[in-house]
Amino acid sequence: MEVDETALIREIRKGRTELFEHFVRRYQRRLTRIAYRFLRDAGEADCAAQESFLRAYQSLGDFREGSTFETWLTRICINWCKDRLKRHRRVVFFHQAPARDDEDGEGPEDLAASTDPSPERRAAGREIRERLLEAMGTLSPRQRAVFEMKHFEEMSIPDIAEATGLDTGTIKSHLFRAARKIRERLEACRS
Amino acid sequence: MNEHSPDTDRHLSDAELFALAVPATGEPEAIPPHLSRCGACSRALRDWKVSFASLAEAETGQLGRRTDADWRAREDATLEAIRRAGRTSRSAHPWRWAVAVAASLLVAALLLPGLRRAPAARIAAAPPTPAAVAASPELAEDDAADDRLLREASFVAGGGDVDSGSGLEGRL
Repeated sequence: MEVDETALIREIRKGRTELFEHFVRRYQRRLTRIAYRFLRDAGEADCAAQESFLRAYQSLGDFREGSTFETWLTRICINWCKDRLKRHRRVVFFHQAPARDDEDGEGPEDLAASTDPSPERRAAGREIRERLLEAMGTLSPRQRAVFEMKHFEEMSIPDIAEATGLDTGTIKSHLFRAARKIRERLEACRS
Repeated sequence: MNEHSPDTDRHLSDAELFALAVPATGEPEAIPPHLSRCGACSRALRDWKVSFASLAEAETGQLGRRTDADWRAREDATLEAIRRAGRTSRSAHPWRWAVAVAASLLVAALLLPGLRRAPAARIAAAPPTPAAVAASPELAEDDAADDRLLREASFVAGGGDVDSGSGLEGRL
């Protein structure tokens, strides 16, 4: 059943603070994943998500009805991540992926392998992923952030625009350029 | 992986498969006619879509391997942090109000009596002129001397010169 989140926020503002649990249960995973795409560290991503919820809760009075809570929350989270990166003077911002914490246990290839029994297809899938990752490495930090929000987190272009503070035209431009760069890289690797 | 072919009905390249599997802005690309005739390219496109989807999950590192219980624990931690923050702000507010109310009452208690007897108090507070002191019948000679002594003591305590003709030594 779809919950009217605007009505829920009105109730929370009136004092029924326990209703805020709905938002945490619904959005924490997604928010943590988005934060991870910026910070590349699971612990920091957890911290970012928790802090974002706290900030959202404490400034619920600033929430404008008409926008969605999820987008507003995502924006808080992205700003938190940017601040964090600035504080730590990390130039990395999405460009080069620092040591990924998926070295133990299942890697990307194994995840796909579990759904595809054919060894040939598994090998093909592994190769595609390696090439995609390599091609995505050529994207600028901002292009990669926007690309991942659109294609990995399945956010809409207006939502990405609102969350990042950029306009939709700029977001589309980033997406087109990112796709072109990846295609060019894939072609270059082939030739 | 598909190879390039010079003929018009060539297999789709990886770049083309990528463009079909991951449309730049989400709008589907036009399907090339070759795709409907070529089983290999159709399978390749499926592989690209599946691989990209699995990459999205894999790119979240450890997060992708968390169980529902792991996530639940983190959500509980967030809720607890929010409750704590709520309690802190709730308990801080009444304290601030209590301090403000107490301060207001104190000020009121100090000011109100003074305001009520203001005219009389102002008259009483005015320092008596020397003539008034001299004319006052109830101020005896000894009292007047004590009064002068106290004034001089106050003057000396304030850094005044004691070597004047009216010094304290002779009087004490």
